[in-house]
Amino acid sequence: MKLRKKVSLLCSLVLVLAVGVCSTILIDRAGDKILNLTYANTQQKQQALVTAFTNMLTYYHDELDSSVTSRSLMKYCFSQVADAEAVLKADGETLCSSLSIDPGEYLTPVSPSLPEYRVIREDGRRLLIAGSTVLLYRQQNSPECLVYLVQDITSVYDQIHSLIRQFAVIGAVFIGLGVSLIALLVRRSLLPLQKLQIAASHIAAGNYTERAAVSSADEVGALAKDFNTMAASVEQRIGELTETAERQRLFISGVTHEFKTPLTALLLNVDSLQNTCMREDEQAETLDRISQQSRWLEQLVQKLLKLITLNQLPALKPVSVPPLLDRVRDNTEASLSARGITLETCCTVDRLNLDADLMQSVLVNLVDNAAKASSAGQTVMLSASPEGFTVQDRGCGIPQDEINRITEPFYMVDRSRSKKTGGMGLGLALVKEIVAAHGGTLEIKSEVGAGTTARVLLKQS
Amino acid sequence: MAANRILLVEDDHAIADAVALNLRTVGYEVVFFDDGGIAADSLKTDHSYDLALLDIMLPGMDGFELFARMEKYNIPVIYMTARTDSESEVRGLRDGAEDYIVKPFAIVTLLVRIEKVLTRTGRLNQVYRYRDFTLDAENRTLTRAGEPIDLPPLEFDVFTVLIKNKNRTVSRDRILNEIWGEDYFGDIRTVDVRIANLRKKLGLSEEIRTISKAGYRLEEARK
Repeated sequence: MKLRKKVSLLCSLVLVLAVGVCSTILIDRAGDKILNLTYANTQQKQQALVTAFTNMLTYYHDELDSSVTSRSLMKYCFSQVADAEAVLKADGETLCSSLSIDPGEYLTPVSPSLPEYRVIREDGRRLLIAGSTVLLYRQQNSPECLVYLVQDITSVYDQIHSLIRQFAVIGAVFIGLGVSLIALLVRRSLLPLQKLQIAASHIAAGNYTERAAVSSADEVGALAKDFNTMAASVEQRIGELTETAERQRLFISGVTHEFKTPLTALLLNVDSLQNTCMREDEQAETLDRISQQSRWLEQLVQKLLKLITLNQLPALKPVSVPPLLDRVRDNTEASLSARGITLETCCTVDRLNLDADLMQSVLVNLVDNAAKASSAGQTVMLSASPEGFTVQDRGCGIPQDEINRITEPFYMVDRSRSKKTGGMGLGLALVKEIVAAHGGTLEIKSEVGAGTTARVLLKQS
Repeated sequence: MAANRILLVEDDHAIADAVALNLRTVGYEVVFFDDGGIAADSLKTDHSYDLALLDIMLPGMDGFELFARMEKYNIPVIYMTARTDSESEVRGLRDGAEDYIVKPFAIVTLLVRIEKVLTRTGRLNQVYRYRDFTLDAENRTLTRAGEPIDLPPLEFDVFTVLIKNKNRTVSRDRILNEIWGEDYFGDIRTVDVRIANLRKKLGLSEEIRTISKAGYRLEEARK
């Protein structure tokens, strides 16, 4: 059962119970009061009758000397004061009565003071019988005299019953209203929970951007807030994972593509040697292509291996910087002088915390790239400072929209040119990985026509 | 009738050189470009090609764009690329390319596909020349210095396969396949018998070389 239904049902049950108990108590009290008033009224009437009767008897008592006469006198006196509802009995004998019932059957009073009473049902009517004994003064052997007053109180009961019916109707109406109000209020206060549940099911279905739009200040609101925080962190993680997976997919498809080209060339040239009748010079050319492509593949494998194994952190230790710059100069001298480019170095730091071999390959790579972008006669500047290294050239620059992509594996700004200059599109990806493994960042700023500045910012220890 | 002219656009020289060498060896005329843009420009002055072999990832202009230019001049296209993802394959064929060959491929596959496309588009030059022999595959005639030579049908077919693949080794299996179709599992020795007859009848005992473990090759000294 839904929580909304459960809470509504429980509240309604409590309401019905409360209204029911209250009504019952109220009706009970009201009924009692009405009945008591009726009894008191009847008792008073009966007393008045008795008093009038005895006064009259006393007035005539001197003339009473025989029992017969006295009975006649009693009858006479009683008939003078009583009305149709009154009954007089003496020694069990009914002297005066116009009623169809004998009240003596139901009530035998013994006290002359307060009249006793009893309610009986007769033919679907309710009759109240009030009765008492009467003391006849100065009379020996006087008969035991009883005076009854019988009143029909059916209307009083009808009144009470109509009261009960009214209470029932009013109660039912109020219970109905109350139950609907409860259902409405419970629904309203549980609405945020429902929204939360919908949001959760959306997220579970993979829609990670979904949030719960709940702003109440209660526990549900707090839950929604925490829920949204959780959803945001899930979304972020999923986003990161998707991005990583996409990067890996691109990397693998890049690797595949890069392998396919030299492999195709190798296979085609081997095929030619095997199956095609060639002149000697053609054979030599084909063999040359085979050896070139094999070397290319070998280098590709080496670089990829380096890129993949870089996940292990390099051992960083304080390294003297000037000799490192000298080694970079030695390693790049041949390619730089072939292009007519000079390398200028500047060092304002003595020692830096790094892996000398890896950093050397980073700097050689960056200097090589700078040289490839420069034209003959230009200078490439390599400087070292406590923050890290900077390689600056005044070459052709990189278009703005390419800068973010140049560190992607196999990305080449100009494929045909890169191939001519011997680029694989892996250099900067490798540089970025190595710098990241040092806990640093690679920052590349460039302007087309004005040159490029690559900065290796190392983590400050 | 002139040899079929093929336009080759491929940025990797090691691949392009090997492909061009083999196409020329069997008698095609090959024009090669390593840049899509330059190839497209060249079409303005010369577009009498029977077929274009296009790489997809090209500097200057990619293969798909280049295809539109080829369409203008009614040049059938075979894509030649390392892309294996179905997206580019679908795009390549939907655009109307005749065929699609995925790197790495074997030269024999490329040759077969080129021949099929040329046949389908009615551009295949069916007249082959070897020294003073002229073989017309369509009319099934063979002449030497203008003089007709009569060959039994099977020998004519074997010689056709050899002359089509001039300077390239053709395996016995392939000869069988070319003549009787792929479903035929005949005796490979029948090929040897035809070859021996051809050598004798045409006086080509030196030129039709047996390449051990590979097959036969009709050789022509080239300058």
